[in-house]
Amino acid sequence: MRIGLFDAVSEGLSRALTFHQKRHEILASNVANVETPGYRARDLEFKDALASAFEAGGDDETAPTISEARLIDRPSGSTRPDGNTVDIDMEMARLAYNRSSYTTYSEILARRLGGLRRAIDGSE
Amino acid sequence: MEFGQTLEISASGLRAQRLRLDVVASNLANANSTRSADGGPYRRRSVVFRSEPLEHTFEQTLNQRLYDRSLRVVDVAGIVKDEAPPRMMYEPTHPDADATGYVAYPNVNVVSEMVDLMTATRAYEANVQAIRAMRVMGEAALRIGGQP
Repeated sequence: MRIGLFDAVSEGLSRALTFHQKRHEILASNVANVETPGYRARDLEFKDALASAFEAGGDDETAPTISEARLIDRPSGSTRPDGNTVDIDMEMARLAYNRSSYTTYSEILARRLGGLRRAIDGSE
Repeated sequence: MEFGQTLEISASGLRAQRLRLDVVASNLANANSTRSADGGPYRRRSVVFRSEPLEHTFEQTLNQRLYDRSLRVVDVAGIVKDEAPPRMMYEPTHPDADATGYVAYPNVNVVSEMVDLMTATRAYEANVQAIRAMRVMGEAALRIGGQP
Protein backbone atom coordinates (compact mmCIF):
# COMPACT_ATOMS: atom_id res chain seq x y z
CA MET A 1 0.00 0.00 0.00
CA ARG A 2 1.21 3.42 -0.84
CA ILE A 3 0.80 6.04 1.80
CA GLY A 4 1.10 9.61 0.73
CA LEU A 5 2.00 12.26 3.25
CA PHE A 6 -1.20 14.18 2.79
CA ASP A 7 -3.31 11.87 0.69
CA ALA A 8 -7.07 11.77 0.26
CA VAL A 9 -7.57 9.16 2.97
CA SER A 10 -5.77 11.16 5.65
CA GLU A 11 -7.64 14.20 4.50
CA GLY A 12 -10.94 12.33 4.61
CA LEU A 13 -10.16 11.01 8.08
CA SER A 14 -9.38 14.42 9.45
CA ARG A 15 -12.60 15.77 7.97
CA ALA A 16 -14.49 12.89 9.54
CA LEU A 17 -12.91 13.87 12.87
CA THR A 18 -14.04 17.46 12.42
CA PHE A 19 -17.51 16.26 11.59
CA HIS A 20 -17.77 14.06 14.68
CA GLN A 21 -16.51 16.87 16.85
CA LYS A 22 -19.17 19.20 15.47
CA ARG A 23 -21.80 16.54 15.89
CA HIS A 24 -20.74 16.16 19.50
CA GLU A 25 -21.42 19.85 20.03
CA ILE A 26 -24.90 19.53 18.54
CA LEU A 27 -25.66 16.45 20.66
CA ALA A 28 -24.29 18.13 23.80
CA SER A 29 -26.59 21.04 23.03
CA ASN A 30 -29.55 18.63 22.87
CA VAL A 31 -28.58 17.09 26.21
CA ALA A 32 -28.15 20.50 27.86
CA ASN A 33 -31.63 21.47 26.69
CA VAL A 34 -33.37 18.27 27.75
CA GLU A 35 -35.70 20.20 30.05
CA THR A 36 -36.15 23.36 27.97
CA PRO A 37 -39.77 23.81 26.87
CA GLY A 38 -40.20 24.05 23.10
CA TYR A 39 -36.59 23.05 22.31
CA ARG A 40 -36.28 21.06 19.08
CA ALA A 41 -33.59 18.37 18.94
CA ARG A 42 -31.04 18.72 16.15
CA ASP A 43 -28.46 16.53 14.53
CA LEU A 44 -25.81 16.59 11.82
CA GLU A 45 -25.87 14.20 8.89
CA PHE A 46 -22.76 13.60 6.91
CA LYS A 47 -22.77 9.92 6.12
CA ASP A 48 -23.79 10.13 2.46
CA ALA A 49 -21.32 12.82 1.56
CA LEU A 50 -18.53 10.98 3.39
CA ALA A 51 -19.34 7.62 1.81
CA SER A 52 -19.34 9.02 -1.70
CA ALA A 53 -16.05 10.77 -1.03
CA PHE A 54 -14.35 7.55 0.06
CA GLU A 55 -15.83 5.65 -2.89
CA ALA A 56 -14.53 8.25 -5.29
CA GLY A 57 -11.27 7.37 -3.58
CA GLY A 58 -9.64 10.25 -5.10
CA ASP A 59 -8.84 13.82 -5.37
CA ASP A 60 -9.48 16.50 -2.84
CA GLU A 61 -12.05 18.03 -5.14
CA THR A 62 -14.58 15.41 -4.13
CA ALA A 63 -13.84 15.34 -0.41
CA PRO A 64 -16.83 16.65 1.49
CA THR A 65 -16.60 19.60 3.79
CA ILE A 66 -18.43 20.29 7.00
CA SER A 67 -20.65 22.84 5.33
CA GLU A 68 -22.09 19.96 3.32
CA ALA A 69 -23.17 18.23 6.50
CA ARG A 70 -26.86 18.66 6.78
CA LEU A 71 -28.33 19.99 9.96
CA ILE A 72 -31.58 18.22 10.63
CA ASP A 73 -34.42 19.11 12.88
CA ARG A 74 -34.92 15.59 14.08
CA PRO A 75 -38.44 14.21 14.31
CA SER A 76 -38.87 12.64 17.71
CA GLY A 77 -40.72 9.46 18.59
CA SER A 78 -42.38 11.09 21.53
CA THR A 79 -43.47 14.66 21.62
CA ARG A 80 -43.84 15.88 25.13
CA PRO A 81 -46.58 18.31 26.10
CA ASP A 82 -43.99 21.09 26.48
CA GLY A 83 -42.99 20.81 22.80
CA ASN A 84 -39.49 19.54 23.58
CA THR A 85 -38.37 16.81 21.15
CA VAL A 86 -35.23 15.55 22.97
CA ASP A 87 -35.20 11.80 23.67
CA ILE A 88 -32.54 11.62 26.36
CA ASP A 89 -31.86 7.89 25.99
CA MET A 90 -31.46 8.14 22.21
CA GLU A 91 -29.35 11.25 22.66
CA MET A 92 -26.97 9.46 25.05
CA ALA A 93 -26.72 6.51 22.66
CA ARG A 94 -25.86 8.85 19.77
CA LEU A 95 -23.33 10.61 21.99
CA ALA A 96 -21.63 7.29 22.82
CA TYR A 97 -21.72 6.14 19.19
CA ASN A 98 -20.34 9.45 17.99
CA ARG A 99 -17.58 9.27 20.57
CA SER A 100 -16.49 5.79 19.48
CA SER A 101 -16.58 6.82 15.82
CA TYR A 102 -14.30 9.71 16.66
CA THR A 103 -11.94 7.45 18.61
CA THR A 104 -11.92 4.93 15.76
CA TYR A 105 -11.07 7.48 13.08
CA SER A 106 -8.39 9.07 15.21
CA GLU A 107 -6.90 5.63 15.92
CA ILE A 108 -6.78 4.84 12.17
CA LEU A 109 -5.18 8.19 11.48
CA ALA A 110 -2.66 7.64 14.29
CA ARG A 111 -1.72 4.24 12.87
CA ARG A 112 -1.30 5.62 9.37
CA LEU A 113 1.00 8.28 10.68
CA GLY A 114 2.78 5.67 12.81
CA GLY A 115 3.37 3.57 9.70
CA LEU A 116 4.71 6.59 7.93
CA ARG A 117 7.05 7.31 10.83
CA ARG A 118 8.41 3.75 10.76
CA ALA A 119 8.99 4.06 7.02
CA ILE A 120 10.96 7.26 7.57
CA ASP A 121 12.91 5.94 10.57
CA GLY A 122 13.53 2.61 8.94
CA SER A 123 12.91 1.04 12.33
CA GLU A 124 11.32 -2.42 12.55
CA MET B 1 -10.98 21.03 18.56
CA GLU B 2 -13.00 23.76 20.15
CA PHE B 3 -13.18 22.37 23.64
CA GLY B 4 -14.28 25.66 25.11
CA GLN B 5 -17.40 25.74 23.01
CA THR B 6 -18.45 22.17 23.79
CA LEU B 7 -17.66 22.64 27.44
CA GLU B 8 -19.73 25.80 27.58
CA ILE B 9 -22.79 23.98 26.22
CA SER B 10 -22.52 21.10 28.67
CA ALA B 11 -21.60 23.42 31.54
CA SER B 12 -24.74 25.44 30.90
CA GLY B 13 -26.70 22.21 31.32
CA LEU B 14 -24.89 21.45 34.58
CA ARG B 15 -25.51 24.96 35.87
CA ALA B 16 -29.20 24.84 35.00
CA GLN B 17 -29.77 21.45 36.61
CA ARG B 18 -27.86 22.46 39.72
CA LEU B 19 -30.04 25.53 40.11
CA ARG B 20 -33.05 23.28 39.75
CA LEU B 21 -31.69 21.09 42.54
CA ASP B 22 -31.26 24.20 44.69
CA VAL B 23 -34.89 25.14 44.11
CA VAL B 24 -36.09 21.61 44.90
CA ALA B 25 -34.00 21.67 48.10
CA SER B 26 -35.56 24.99 49.04
CA ASN B 27 -39.06 23.60 48.42
CA LEU B 28 -38.37 20.52 50.51
CA ALA B 29 -36.73 22.47 53.31
CA ASN B 30 -39.73 24.79 53.47
CA ALA B 31 -42.41 22.13 53.05
CA ASN B 32 -43.84 23.12 56.44
CA SER B 33 -42.91 26.80 56.70
CA THR B 34 -46.08 28.64 57.54
CA ARG B 35 -44.46 32.06 57.56
CA SER B 36 -42.54 33.83 54.80
CA ALA B 37 -41.16 37.29 54.09
CA ASP B 38 -44.09 38.24 51.85
CA GLY B 39 -46.65 37.02 54.40
CA GLY B 40 -48.57 33.76 54.38
CA PRO B 41 -47.00 30.35 53.93
CA TYR B 42 -44.00 29.59 51.72
CA ARG B 43 -44.94 29.11 48.08
CA ARG B 44 -43.43 26.39 45.96
CA ARG B 45 -40.88 27.65 43.41
CA SER B 46 -40.04 26.16 40.05
CA VAL B 47 -37.40 26.92 37.45
CA VAL B 48 -38.18 27.88 33.85
CA PHE B 49 -35.53 26.97 31.26
CA ARG B 50 -34.92 28.71 27.98
CA SER B 51 -32.49 27.82 25.18
CA GLU B 52 -30.12 30.53 24.05
CA PRO B 53 -27.77 30.69 21.08
CA LEU B 54 -24.15 30.13 22.03
CA GLU B 55 -22.18 33.36 22.30
CA HIS B 56 -19.57 33.58 19.59
CA THR B 57 -16.20 35.13 19.38
CA PHE B 58 -15.67 37.63 16.58
CA GLU B 59 -13.83 35.11 14.46
CA GLN B 60 -16.57 32.52 14.78
CA THR B 61 -19.24 35.06 13.86
CA LEU B 62 -17.21 35.94 10.79
CA ASN B 63 -17.22 32.42 9.40
CA GLN B 64 -20.43 31.33 10.93
CA ARG B 65 -21.84 28.23 9.36
CA LEU B 66 -24.93 26.15 9.51
CA TYR B 67 -24.08 24.16 12.63
CA ASP B 68 -22.88 27.16 14.58
CA ARG B 69 -26.27 28.79 14.49
CA SER B 70 -27.93 25.75 15.90
CA LEU B 71 -25.76 25.38 19.01
CA ARG B 72 -27.86 26.25 21.99
CA VAL B 73 -26.88 26.63 25.62
CA VAL B 74 -29.56 26.41 28.26
CA ASP B 75 -30.35 29.44 30.33
CA VAL B 76 -32.61 30.00 33.30
CA ALA B 77 -35.47 32.26 32.22
CA GLY B 78 -36.61 32.68 35.81
CA ILE B 79 -37.77 31.14 39.03
CA VAL B 80 -41.53 31.33 39.32
CA LYS B 81 -43.79 30.91 42.32
CA ASP B 82 -46.51 28.31 42.17
CA GLU B 83 -49.82 30.13 42.63
CA ALA B 84 -51.69 26.99 43.63
CA PRO B 85 -53.68 27.42 46.87
CA PRO B 86 -51.99 26.41 50.13
CA ARG B 87 -52.77 23.16 51.91
CA MET B 88 -55.28 23.85 54.69
CA MET B 89 -54.92 21.79 57.83
CA TYR B 90 -57.16 21.95 60.86
CA GLU B 91 -54.89 22.80 63.79
CA PRO B 92 -56.68 25.23 66.10
CA THR B 93 -53.78 25.35 68.58
CA HIS B 94 -51.22 26.41 65.96
CA PRO B 95 -50.16 30.07 66.35
CA ASP B 96 -50.76 30.67 62.61
CA ALA B 97 -54.28 29.22 62.63
CA ASP B 98 -56.98 31.46 61.17
CA ALA B 99 -60.34 32.27 62.81
CA THR B 100 -61.78 28.91 61.75
CA GLY B 101 -58.81 26.98 63.17
CA TYR B 102 -57.17 26.15 59.82
CA VAL B 103 -53.47 26.62 59.17
CA ALA B 104 -52.23 27.42 55.63
CA TYR B 105 -49.30 25.12 54.84
CA PRO B 106 -47.05 25.58 51.77
CA ASN B 107 -48.34 24.16 48.47
CA VAL B 108 -45.33 21.84 48.32
CA ASN B 109 -45.98 18.24 47.34
CA VAL B 110 -43.05 16.25 48.67
CA VAL B 111 -43.59 13.37 46.22
CA SER B 112 -43.50 15.59 43.14
CA GLU B 113 -40.46 17.39 44.56
CA MET B 114 -38.66 14.05 44.87
CA VAL B 115 -39.53 13.23 41.28
CA ASP B 116 -38.17 16.62 40.25
CA LEU B 117 -35.04 15.95 42.30
CA MET B 118 -34.39 12.66 40.53
CA THR B 119 -35.07 14.11 37.08
CA ALA B 120 -32.65 16.95 37.74
CA THR B 121 -30.00 14.49 39.00
CA ARG B 122 -30.31 12.34 35.87
CA ALA B 123 -30.20 15.35 33.56
CA TYR B 124 -27.09 16.53 35.42
CA GLU B 125 -25.46 13.13 34.93
CA ALA B 126 -26.32 13.20 31.21
CA ASN B 127 -24.40 16.46 30.87
CA VAL B 128 -21.48 14.98 32.79
CA GLN B 129 -21.47 12.09 30.29
CA ALA B 130 -21.31 14.57 27.42
CA ILE B 131 -18.28 16.21 29.03
CA ARG B 132 -16.68 12.80 29.59
CA ALA B 133 -17.21 11.91 25.92
CA MET B 134 -15.54 15.18 24.95
CA ARG B 135 -12.55 14.29 27.12
CA VAL B 136 -12.20 10.85 25.54
CA MET B 137 -12.33 12.42 22.09
CA GLY B 138 -9.74 14.97 23.07
CA GLU B 139 -7.40 12.29 24.37
CA ALA B 140 -7.87 10.31 21.14
CA ALA B 141 -7.00 13.42 19.15
CA LEU B 142 -3.82 13.89 21.19
CA ARG B 143 -2.70 10.36 20.32
CA ILE B 144 -2.66 11.22 16.60
CA GLY B 145 0.93 11.64 15.59
CA GLY B 146 2.18 10.64 19.02
CA GLN B 147 4.47 7.74 19.78
CA PRO B 148 2.67 4.44 19.16
